Amino acid sequence: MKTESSFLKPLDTIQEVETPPFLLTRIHQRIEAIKANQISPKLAWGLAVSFSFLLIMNMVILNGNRKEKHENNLVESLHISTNNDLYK
Amino acid sequence: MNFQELYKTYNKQVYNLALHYVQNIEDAQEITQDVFVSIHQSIDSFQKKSTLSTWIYRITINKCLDFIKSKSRRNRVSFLTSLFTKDTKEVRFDHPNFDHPGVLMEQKEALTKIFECINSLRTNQKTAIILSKIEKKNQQEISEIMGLSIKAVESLIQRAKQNLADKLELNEGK
Repeated sequence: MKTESSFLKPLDTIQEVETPPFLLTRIHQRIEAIKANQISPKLAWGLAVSFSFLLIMNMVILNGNRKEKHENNLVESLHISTNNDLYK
Repeated sequence: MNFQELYKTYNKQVYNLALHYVQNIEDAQEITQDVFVSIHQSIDSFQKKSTLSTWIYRITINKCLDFIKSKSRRNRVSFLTSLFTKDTKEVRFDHPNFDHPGVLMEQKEALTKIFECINSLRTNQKTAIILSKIEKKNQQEISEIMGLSIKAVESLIQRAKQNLADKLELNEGK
């Protein structure tokens, strides 16, 4: 009489095999390759801080230029003299 | 446990499980490498909620399933592109090359048919049947590996066996 899973009996004959010996070397090579492509956290932070600093400096300078331009426009429109010489 | 010791302890488990999923030496080697690279990268995040062996089983199963999915996607793409490429003289569709080194010659034909049917099962059923019938895990162990209740595992195995019986009967009828 055929038991419920007698058709799966051939699966019992599958044998365990050894891993090829060169696999560990290949794994190490892949790990090294990944490490070589990674940016260290220190470098990443350094780059982030430098970039932020540059961005802020840029914004400060641009803001300063804008303020100066606005003041100049105001001075011109109101015909205000910017020097104290009485007899120019 | 350092990485060398980890590899020494678990390499056979990983390689053989990969073989059961893909039945092909080259693919199993690739998966084994993927698994251990992944273990190396994430060992620090292992939270010990399960045993190391269970954790490694899970990684291996996920890598196997991802590999199979990506391979069948590549096969579909190459099949479609071959329809439109002038260079190919015939339509190419790569069937998996059955090359399981743990299979005895006298059992090869029977096991080729059985694995063909196992490969066509749904993912969960495939995993349950591989772990139960080939890896000889008990239901408690399978439930820990798959993150399912014991009842769910029992049901999966039953359905898998039924589906396999139906498919094998169909194949015999051909």
